[in-house]
Amino acid sequence: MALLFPSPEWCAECMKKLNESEAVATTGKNWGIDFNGNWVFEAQPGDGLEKATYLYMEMKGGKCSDCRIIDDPSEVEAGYYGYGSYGNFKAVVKGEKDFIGAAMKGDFKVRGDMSRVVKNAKYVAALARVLGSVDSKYLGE
Amino acid sequence: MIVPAIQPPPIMPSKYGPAAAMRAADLPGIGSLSVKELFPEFAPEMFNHYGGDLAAIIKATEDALAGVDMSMIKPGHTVNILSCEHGFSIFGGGPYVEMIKTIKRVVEERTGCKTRLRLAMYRGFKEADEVREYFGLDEIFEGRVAGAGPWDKGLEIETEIGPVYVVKKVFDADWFIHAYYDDPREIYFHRMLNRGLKAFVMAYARVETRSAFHFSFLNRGGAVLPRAIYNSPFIQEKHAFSCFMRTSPNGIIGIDGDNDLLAIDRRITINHLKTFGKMVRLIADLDDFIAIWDGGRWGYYIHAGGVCFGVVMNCDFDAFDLEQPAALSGLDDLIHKRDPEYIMDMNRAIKAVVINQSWPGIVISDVPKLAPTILVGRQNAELWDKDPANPHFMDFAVTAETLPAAVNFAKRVGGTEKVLAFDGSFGYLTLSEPLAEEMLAKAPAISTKVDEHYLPMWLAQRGIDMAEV
Amino acid sequence: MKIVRYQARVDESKCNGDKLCENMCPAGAIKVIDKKAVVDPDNCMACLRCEDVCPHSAVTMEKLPHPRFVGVDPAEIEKMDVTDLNALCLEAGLMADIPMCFCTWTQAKEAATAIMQGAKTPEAVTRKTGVCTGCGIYCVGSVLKLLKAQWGELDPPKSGLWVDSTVSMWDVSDEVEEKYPEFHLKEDKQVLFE
Repeated sequence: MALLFPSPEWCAECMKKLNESEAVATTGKNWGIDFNGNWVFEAQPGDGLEKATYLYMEMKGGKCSDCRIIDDPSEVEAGYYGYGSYGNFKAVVKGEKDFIGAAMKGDFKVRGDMSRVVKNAKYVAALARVLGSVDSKYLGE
Repeated sequence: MIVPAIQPPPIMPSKYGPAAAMRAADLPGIGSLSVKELFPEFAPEMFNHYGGDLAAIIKATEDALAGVDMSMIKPGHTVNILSCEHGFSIFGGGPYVEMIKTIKRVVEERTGCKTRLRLAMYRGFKEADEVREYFGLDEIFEGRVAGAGPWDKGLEIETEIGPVYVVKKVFDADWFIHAYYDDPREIYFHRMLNRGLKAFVMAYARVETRSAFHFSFLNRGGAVLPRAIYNSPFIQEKHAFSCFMRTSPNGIIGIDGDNDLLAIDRRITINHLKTFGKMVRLIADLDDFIAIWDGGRWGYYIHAGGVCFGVVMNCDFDAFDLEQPAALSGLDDLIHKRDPEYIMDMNRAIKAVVINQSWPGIVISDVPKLAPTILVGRQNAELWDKDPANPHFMDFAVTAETLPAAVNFAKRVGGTEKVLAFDGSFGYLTLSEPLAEEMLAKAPAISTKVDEHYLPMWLAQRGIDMAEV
Repeated sequence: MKIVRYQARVDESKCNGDKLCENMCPAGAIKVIDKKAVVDPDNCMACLRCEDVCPHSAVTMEKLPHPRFVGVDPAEIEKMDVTDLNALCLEAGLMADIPMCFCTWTQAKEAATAIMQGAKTPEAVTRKTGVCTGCGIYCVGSVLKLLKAQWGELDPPKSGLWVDSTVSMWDVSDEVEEKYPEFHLKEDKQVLFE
């Protein structure tokens, strides 16, 4: 059954899939070990999303220990902050856009230690693939 | 206004470039405009290629070396004097060779050691041989001359950013003397950050290191690579001193020797921002002109009034402004697509490029995209047709039989009578009268703007107090 | 795309088999066999290095009757998984659509495709794409980075044709960034992503 992206149910399913993914476990085994590898994603309003929505993912050693919607990024400590329109996030989850390619074109902005993102690009790609594997439905559609 | 054209510096014959049948200075309607008429505030030169006395170079080198500590060089030590390719074409190469000869003599007199010359070249495996023969270097150094290039055996050295490869032969001595020149080539890469250290990622480095400098860093950040190499224990333990041929748009303004290369670099930075800063901003403000490549090595590195064509082609944005992230590098194409304000566009004032005398071998793929490009003569056409660095070039360039024919065609397609020859000149610009008029009209305002706005900004960005200037 | 208009030709009477040409060929297209250099016509990229390095003038360049075009078929690039392609390029510090080799206007994704299809050495990448046969300045480091990102540690040849050197701005530590604020390293790293 398709889950609304974003929603607590979607987050739970996403976390489950992240922890089941061998690609995430392999490529991310060094991620977050001696640095904060947690992510906050901000989906900006538009395309059916009425207000900015924040998704928090706690990622370390290729595993996800938390994935939830938060009210405010200041609630958590995340090493990485990615933001873009809800429309672009939708496109990634639908598999219509590749996250890295979209980020390189400016559809997403990312803040944090970019050296680690670059050197772990395959991990970032694996994460994005898992997001795209969740059976989802969307606001505004 | 303009005077009868002053003959530009001579060109060393080379298998890598054609011989010009005619120089741009010999074209009808071409004369010379003194840099002093544009910017009378620039300090006068001590040497230029037209009527300069090489004895002044010798004396200036002796004076520069008088204060340099050479006590680290002990009897029995080996000493490499490092020289780089472009020095052998600036001002025809004579001043650079005199500086090197004087360094040799002074070092050998003071230390009792025999020096060796390393000719650090780039493109051709026979470049070094040509230079040593043309300037009689084997005789001067009693046979202790060796060429070195980027495909020579590399030596891994540890730096603060990781392992990097230099060319082993360059540093195969107990000590090295960095004998260099400071003309501001490739500002779009080095951004006038540690210009004095550039050779450590170019002439003295393996091709992979050159590649890293150009393509694995953005341009401001790229300065960390030559600095890291210079700071490395390997280099610091071998660097005896540096000696630079110092320039301004007027010509050679002095010889600068110091055990502290960063001190020389700081002096270069200040001078260049004060002087070349104005020349570059003036040229960036021109409305339109035809460019002629007429002398020296690769087209991007041939001077007009001391400013290289490559700098002119890429002066659409202010490369000295360190707040600007964008400049020429493969990574920046992405920025160009995303953020128009960061676009480093090519200088659209260049309406046509006539290639009279220049070496192929460096990628110039942007040039025919920018403007109609006309080769002079069949020999040129054959050389460029073979050039592996520009395999698409002959699909875009046209060939004219003679230089006058090429320039006439360039004027027609470019829609301008303004011509600027990049013929290696310092002190004067070889150009047409209409261009001289435009430059003279614009120079005073440019000078004021640089003094009041740009220079304070550029200096502050580099931690240099105006009081030092 | 590389347009090859010439081909190396060896005058055996002048060749002494010293292997200077073989050690310099970016495509591995000239090899000394039975003490004479032999050119592989299908892979010679006319980079001129063999002609230039030979001290005996044994190599000359002959114009081909028709130019040869070298490059990965764009249809092959389209077939690649775009996520994998972008990730490989990014891990090498490249953006897939940028021209990685300015001499041939080859985009990073083309070289990445050649590598993902099995090219394991710079020479193999050169044979598929024509990169590294021109100026020799810009792209060799990027090719090495792509290879390393795909296949792991590199094994440089004894000839010294290339060395395992892939330092980039992504290797610069926070400490070095702070040491040189005038180099704007931190901002440079961020500017690509914001």
